[in-house]
Amino acid sequence: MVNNLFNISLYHYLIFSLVLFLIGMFGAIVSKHVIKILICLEFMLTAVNVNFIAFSAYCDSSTLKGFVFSLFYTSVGAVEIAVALVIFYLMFREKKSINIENYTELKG
Amino acid sequence: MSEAEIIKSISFYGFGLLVLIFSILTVFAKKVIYSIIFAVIAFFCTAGIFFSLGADYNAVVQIAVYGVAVPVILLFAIMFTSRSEAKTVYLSFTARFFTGIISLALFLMIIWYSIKYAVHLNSSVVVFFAKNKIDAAGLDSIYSISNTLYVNYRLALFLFGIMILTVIVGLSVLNIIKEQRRG
Repeated sequence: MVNNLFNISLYHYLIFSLVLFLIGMFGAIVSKHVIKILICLEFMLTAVNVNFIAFSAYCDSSTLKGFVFSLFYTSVGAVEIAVALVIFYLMFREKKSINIENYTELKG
Repeated sequence: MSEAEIIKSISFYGFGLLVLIFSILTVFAKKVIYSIIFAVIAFFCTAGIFFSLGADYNAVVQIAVYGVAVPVILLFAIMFTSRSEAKTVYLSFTARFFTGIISLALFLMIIWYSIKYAVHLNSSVVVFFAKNKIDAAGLDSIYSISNTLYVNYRLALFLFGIMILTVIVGLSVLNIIKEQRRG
């Protein structure tokens, strides 16, 4: 039992990334502040990155494709947060509020 | 169990626990500025997990993007959306005097060290770097990532560059259009 606990395998990383993803999802659903929601989305992206890297390290140690896809995903996350913050800034100037429940004009 | 496995398990549990604790603190923090600080710590610890998996390049990118760049953008967003008028804080004369003295001393120290080591090329710093040359075997993951990134996925990398450029230009145009509509 103790030996299994300290013998780190792929499952340990998968469980860790699952918990991190769930925390991010919980925060994104519960929070009302736009910036906090964006941070929680970044946690979800980071959990996916951990998955990519763990799979690459344990299953594909020769080409390391998961490492490369993680880099792409990180850049997508940075771009996403830049776009989201500009939209938030423009909405803030219209509504003068940071509460996402006031941004009803974005509903379809 | 080997020593490497023990170190790996300790780093996994240590960094993993820190990431989870600080991510929960991020969600439940009352002020958004504390949320950002906790998130930065969580992202730094995630870089530690990447490092323990052998992804040192990804760890550096994680620190550079999520540890530095994204929090700066978020802080700027908070600054632009503050509800009250920003108050300018002026330092007293004594504080400015001592800050200036310390800054000047640090600046002179850096200049002195630069001149000293530039003149004496056979100094201890040069000898240290000559003794500890970077081993090529230690660069395996970086070499592999570079090979995959710049050879196998060069088109994807090019498209990502175009995407980021489009986003930057698009955001600028969006702001200009908005300003013109207001004016």
